[in-house]
Amino acid sequence: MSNDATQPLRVLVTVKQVLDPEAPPALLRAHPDTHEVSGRGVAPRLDPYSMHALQAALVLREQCAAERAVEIHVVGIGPSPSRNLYLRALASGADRVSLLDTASDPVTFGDSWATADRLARLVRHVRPDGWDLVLTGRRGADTNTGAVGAALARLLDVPVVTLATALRVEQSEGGPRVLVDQLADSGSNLLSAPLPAVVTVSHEVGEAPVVPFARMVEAKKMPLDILVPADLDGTESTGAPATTYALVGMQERDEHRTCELVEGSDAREAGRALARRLLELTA
Amino acid sequence: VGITGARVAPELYVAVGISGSVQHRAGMQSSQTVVAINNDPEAPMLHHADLAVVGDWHEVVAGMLDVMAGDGQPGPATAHRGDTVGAEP
Repeated sequence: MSNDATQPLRVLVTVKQVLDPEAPPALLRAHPDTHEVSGRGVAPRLDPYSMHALQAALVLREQCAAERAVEIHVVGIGPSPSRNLYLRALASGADRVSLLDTASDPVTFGDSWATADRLARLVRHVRPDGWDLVLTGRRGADTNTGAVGAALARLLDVPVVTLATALRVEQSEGGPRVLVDQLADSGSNLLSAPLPAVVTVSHEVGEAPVVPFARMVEAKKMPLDILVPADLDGTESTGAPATTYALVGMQERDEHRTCELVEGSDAREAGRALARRLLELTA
Repeated sequence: VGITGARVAPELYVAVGISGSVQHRAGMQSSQTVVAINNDPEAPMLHHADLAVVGDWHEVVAGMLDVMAGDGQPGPATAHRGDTVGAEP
């Protein structure tokens, strides 16, 4: 690993493609037969949680600007990733994107160890000369396990710090370290770990900003590689099983409520009508 | 309130200006009675509420306070930004 502060800091950011989590849930359907969730008319997007990790990388680049360059390399796995979606990561400031298309060898929905195994081997494949920091979102918006960052650190045999609300990199006698403000129940912890390390990023850092369309067009010229599982055949095994569990069933929760729309001559009157209706219901 | 925050199940949950993302609803969907106040008639929250008002929450909440103050007539109470007790995750 690079202990030389004159060399660029090599940051990897895991970015996932998900169905838009802000989409009306009524459009989402669970398919117990194929173990998939689909959304009629629901557009995929880059996971907002991943965008927090990308934002943390961009902030780190700003912080380090006077001392050293920060290389931002986005990695991601998933079936049939959309090149156009990942252009946003490049337009936002990432230098390169490397994706593993798992369509031919899918990972079971929510299998964090299996996901971390593919990510760890992807990281080794795309960064054979090493890296300094991996940033992930605190969880995936679709699978919601929050476990991949820690599993990835275990498989890469490096420290992990979870739930960062802010981070910075400092030189110390023993080499570079990452200092992390970690979210706690009623405050924060300040943690320090030697690089290389994995840090999972909480939403307090914000999302990477939306970029102008012209930047998206320019991003089309930037490196965006899509690999297939066979490309990783030469990488060292992580020792993790390719699959840790089977998904045997899934069903939709019945959350339907019949909504009574309360109206009034204006918004204030509607508010009064609402309060009266609530009082009736609880009488 | 939500997947990354608190999970609550009160008798009455009032979602003021909350769009109703899946992440948020995971934290409150067991609530007994759900009220949504939103100026967006397309907000997903409206599909998951028992009672809803489409309108500016400042006015709607002020109207609710009128009634709670006693007589249903316009009173001095006015809602201000920052009065909310919950936020999107």
